[in-house]
Amino acid sequence: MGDLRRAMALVRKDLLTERRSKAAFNAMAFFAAMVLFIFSFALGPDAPSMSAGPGQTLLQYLWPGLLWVAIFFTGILSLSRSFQIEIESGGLEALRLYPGDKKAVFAGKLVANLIVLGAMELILIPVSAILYNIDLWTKLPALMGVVLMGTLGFAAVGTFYAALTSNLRARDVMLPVLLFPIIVPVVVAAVKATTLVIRGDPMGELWTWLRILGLIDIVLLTVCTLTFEFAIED
Amino acid sequence: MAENAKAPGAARERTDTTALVVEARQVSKRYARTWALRAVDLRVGRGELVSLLGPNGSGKSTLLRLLTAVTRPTYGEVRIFGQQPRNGLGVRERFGVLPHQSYLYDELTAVENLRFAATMYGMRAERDQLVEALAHVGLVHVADRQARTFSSGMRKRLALARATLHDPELVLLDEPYGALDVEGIGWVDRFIGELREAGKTLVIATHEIGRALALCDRAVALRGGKAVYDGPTSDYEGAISGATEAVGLGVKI
Repeated sequence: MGDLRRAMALVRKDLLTERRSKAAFNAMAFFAAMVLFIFSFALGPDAPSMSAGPGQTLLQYLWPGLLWVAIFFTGILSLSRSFQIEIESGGLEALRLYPGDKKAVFAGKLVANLIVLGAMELILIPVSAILYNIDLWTKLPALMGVVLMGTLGFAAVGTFYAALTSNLRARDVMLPVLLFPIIVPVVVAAVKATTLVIRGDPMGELWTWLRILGLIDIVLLTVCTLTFEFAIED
Repeated sequence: MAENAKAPGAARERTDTTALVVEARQVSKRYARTWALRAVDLRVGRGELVSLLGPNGSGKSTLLRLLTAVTRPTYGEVRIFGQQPRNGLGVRERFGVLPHQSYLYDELTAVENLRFAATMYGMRAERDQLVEALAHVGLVHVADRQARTFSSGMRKRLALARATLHDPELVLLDEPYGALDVEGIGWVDRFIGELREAGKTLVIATHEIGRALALCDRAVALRGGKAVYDGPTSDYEGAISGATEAVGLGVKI
């Protein structure tokens, strides 16, 4: 019970800090907008897709992959910031000093990161859908489920590595270098599941990919939770 | 003020050196290729006030960090209340730390900072209790102001309130006088005096040799990561000047 209260206190503290500074969210919103526009310019807003059906543009065809690239790139900023605020105040040391299980610290940081990432996704998904003219409104509940599962795996590993790299001078470089190779399975499963939600699932593969994504989430969550104490050691 | 804070004789009677609160045995710490601390022993009894003295880089802060287990010793062993500070059951609730950094979150108000610390220490702190703690350090008028707007003196007071919020038996202070004006230094003296009167065990790392010698029962001097003096504060000046003159340094530690 005490550890649950500690985790909730961390969530509240991180969200209050973010709400007042808006440091991570403003950077994420700006970066997400840039990513969406760069994709649009790079791939051409009206370029036809050779792989998809008639009337579909390349951007629409690639949207599931582009969405996850935008989520992962943008999310790095939030994950990095979540431990930056601890370093600035010496708070990471304090988190080591407080009594209780350090799994509560991981849980608190993870939930706070999930909420910030979720808020960013709530803006990113509809804006990108409007920008690329994607009809996702009827598929929104299924899409939200896939996004939640993909974000959970990403945030779990991201929170772990953000803590691990927080004491490094080159933390801004090291976080993506360490994180991206580990989340490749999440990327593959999340993009595949999103594609099946958006384009339809005639072969009934979606459930399989959701189970794979769920299994990856469980493995990543378990490993990161059990080893987090070592990640915040000096 | 410092002289007033110490009650000669009375403190020694309260000191129970047979009940060890802190015990560091031959602790060494190496960062990369540099030894920050070499084979230092430290024993602190219940109710004792011990000052860690020494120039920058002598190992004072490293020793405090080892005592609180925020970092592990390369060699040696640390025990707090007879247990390992990292894993001992209920040990972390029994000591409070004023670190070099403040452990304060700039975006949170004074009350929110204390509430967070209280919850992390497993306390159910109501606002009244937190405001009372702030009143004790003279910050009740800024209870709902963000810590980022505080002066260094106010931050020090809030950090001390945070460090002692859970009524710890052992209080470890790292440079409590750092970045303070005369009034702030006097206030810290009074605060330490109150802790002493409350029977707390204190370990204070400081550059303020005069204040430390006036306030504390014992001094431990460090130089180059080694303990060069461990004894009563009353004998410190003579012992250290003799030692430094003997090696031709002629400087005070």
